[in-house]
Amino acid sequence: MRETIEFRIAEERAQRFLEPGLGTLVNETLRKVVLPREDPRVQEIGAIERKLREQGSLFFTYWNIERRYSATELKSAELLNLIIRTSFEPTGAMCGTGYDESVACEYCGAGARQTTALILDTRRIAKSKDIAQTLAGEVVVSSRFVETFQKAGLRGAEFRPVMHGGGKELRASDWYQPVVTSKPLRLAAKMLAGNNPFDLDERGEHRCPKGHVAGLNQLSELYVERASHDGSDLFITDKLFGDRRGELRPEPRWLISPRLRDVLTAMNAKGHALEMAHVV
Amino acid sequence: MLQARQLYLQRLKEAQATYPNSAGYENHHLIPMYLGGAKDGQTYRLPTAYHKAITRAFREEWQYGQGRRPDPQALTDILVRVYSRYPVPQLIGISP
Repeated sequence: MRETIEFRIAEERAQRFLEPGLGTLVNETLRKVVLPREDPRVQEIGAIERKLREQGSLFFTYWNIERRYSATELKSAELLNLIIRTSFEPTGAMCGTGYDESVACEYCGAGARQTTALILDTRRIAKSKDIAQTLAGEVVVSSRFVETFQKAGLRGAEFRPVMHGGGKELRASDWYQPVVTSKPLRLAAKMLAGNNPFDLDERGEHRCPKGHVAGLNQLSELYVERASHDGSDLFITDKLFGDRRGELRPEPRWLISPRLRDVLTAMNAKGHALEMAHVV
Repeated sequence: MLQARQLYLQRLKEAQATYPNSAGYENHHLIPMYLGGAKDGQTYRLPTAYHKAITRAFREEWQYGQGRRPDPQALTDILVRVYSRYPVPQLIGISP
């Protein structure tokens, strides 16, 4: 696995702390730096970030960890993290989907119960995709995805029709909402979550005291407990990531079996990426 | 204030040159929804081209729909940086 980490740093801070010529300009005030994870300059950036945070400032704003795998590595994975790359808005709640917020966690906002069919403006979903999610983390899949999933005899989800609510009346759409029926996969202790790659949120500001949210962001590959694996093909994690902020909600991570990976590959499904997940 | 007004007019001109077919106005969420702004949060009516330029500036600072979120301090930094490059006209006494 090759892991790279991208930082976006205000140009004036980059000029002050980084070697000249490192990275590229995104615009006149923002520099993008991409480094292999093992590059010593990553730790230097971490040290600058920690120092500036102690002083009430910060070094980088944006960060992203990219993991690239060989075909052999992906082939050997027991489970895979299905990363949904296609996002859209408006969210379900903005289109009329009902939620019972009274059952949501008072600390992290997780667990609001969906009380109606998922209603979306389905014109906002890219037609070329097979999987996508709203900003609120409501996942939808194409009818092609559902047909292929069911034809292959895969297990772990039911699919409920998504209603199109972009006009005067609700009508059926070509999209479905997967409702996961498999047992949630328990995150293992090895899993890292936090605010950014150098801040594991030791103060617990973004960890739910009731245990619903593991942290603001997923930092490591997914690690899940073998004892919670029920042999299905589609899963979500037991704990969520993120926070309740405006339309954003804490979201689980999605995992798939190698069987479902093969099906997605064969149908040339669009809208996602895969990372290895570790069953421990 | 004068500098901010000059900057707005310059950025508006650049935006109109970049997006020549973007006539009219659009509502802009002061905190974009993908960064956690509320749907009924503060909005400002901006020229469409200028709105597109601001949207691009935000997405350069923090990519859209990545499944990750900036912590509150990083979000504040992003807002300050974007609005210092692209002032909101109503906040500097200009009617857009």
